[in-house]
Amino acid sequence: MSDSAGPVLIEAAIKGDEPAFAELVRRYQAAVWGAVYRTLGNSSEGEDAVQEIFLRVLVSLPRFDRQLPFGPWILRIASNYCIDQLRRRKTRKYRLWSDLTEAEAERIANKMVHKPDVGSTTVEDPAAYLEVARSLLDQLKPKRRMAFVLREIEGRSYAAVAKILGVPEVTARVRVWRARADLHQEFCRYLAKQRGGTRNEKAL
Amino acid sequence: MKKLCDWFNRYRDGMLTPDQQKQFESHIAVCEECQIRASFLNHLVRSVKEQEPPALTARPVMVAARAYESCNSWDVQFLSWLRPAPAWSTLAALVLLLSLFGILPSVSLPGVSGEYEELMMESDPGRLSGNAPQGETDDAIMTWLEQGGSAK
Repeated sequence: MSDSAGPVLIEAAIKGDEPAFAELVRRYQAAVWGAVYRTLGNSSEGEDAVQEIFLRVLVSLPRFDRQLPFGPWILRIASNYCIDQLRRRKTRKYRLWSDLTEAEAERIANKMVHKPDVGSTTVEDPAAYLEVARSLLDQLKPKRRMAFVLREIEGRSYAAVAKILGVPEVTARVRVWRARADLHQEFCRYLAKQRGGTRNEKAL
Repeated sequence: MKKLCDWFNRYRDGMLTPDQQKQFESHIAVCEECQIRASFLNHLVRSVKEQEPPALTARPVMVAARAYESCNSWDVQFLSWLRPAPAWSTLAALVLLLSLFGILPSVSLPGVSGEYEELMMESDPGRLSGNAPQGETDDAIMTWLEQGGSAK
């Protein structure tokens, strides 16, 4: 994402120049949409989310500190919006481990664990992986999830993640590490349950 | 062994020195827990990353026009006032409401006289009435206390 929104463009947008603001939207829409989609994972609300984020951007523009880069600032508004939405979600849009049938869960878990798949570029069953990945991400705390998406999925540096989230770099790192630990813990819990079940079956 | 498992995040973030990195790579080759951890995370990240967001139908001009239409409505303005510091705004609003309804207790700092009266009431309520100088300044009471607190 280029961070080339000049002060002239920003000043013009603040003064009510619609084409100038439309140009800002054009430059940052893809980045905002990518972050929203990868965090919320719900395309049906996507367009509304982008609209709402740019409304917040327009309203907050007069408070924008011209000394700071515009890209991280706009993404901070997007990430705050995503965190708000995650907190408000009352119903899960994706199935959790507990919702999967035993056979489905076993098949997916085994695939995710097997080492030979780590370095491969193709995934046998991307839809199944995605479903599990989303269900695991859904269980993360909103702030950890946002940090995890920015760092792991979008591949940003910790400095960039910290700027977007408006926190010190060490806080951003702690959130990502905790998110990884939470995800792994949840996954291990399931594996342990499965292995326990298998052992019990064998004992019988 | 456990110490090396703790390096997992640093390794993943490229924060280890070249020597530590080599050490961890030999470790991960034999540690099943770290292998599962790495494999699981790689699969999870890859599956979400590979899912490209669908194209947006709204053109930037339309998004901008709708934003300008909505930005002057009172609810948007009110929320924009609240949003920068939600915790402080909520706290301020709460304090304002409580003070309006007179729920907050009035806070008054007692002087030396007040403290003395309180202490005396606690120890011996009957003693206060006879001896304590009434209506004096804090300095006068301090002098009276230094002199032993006897009756005038």
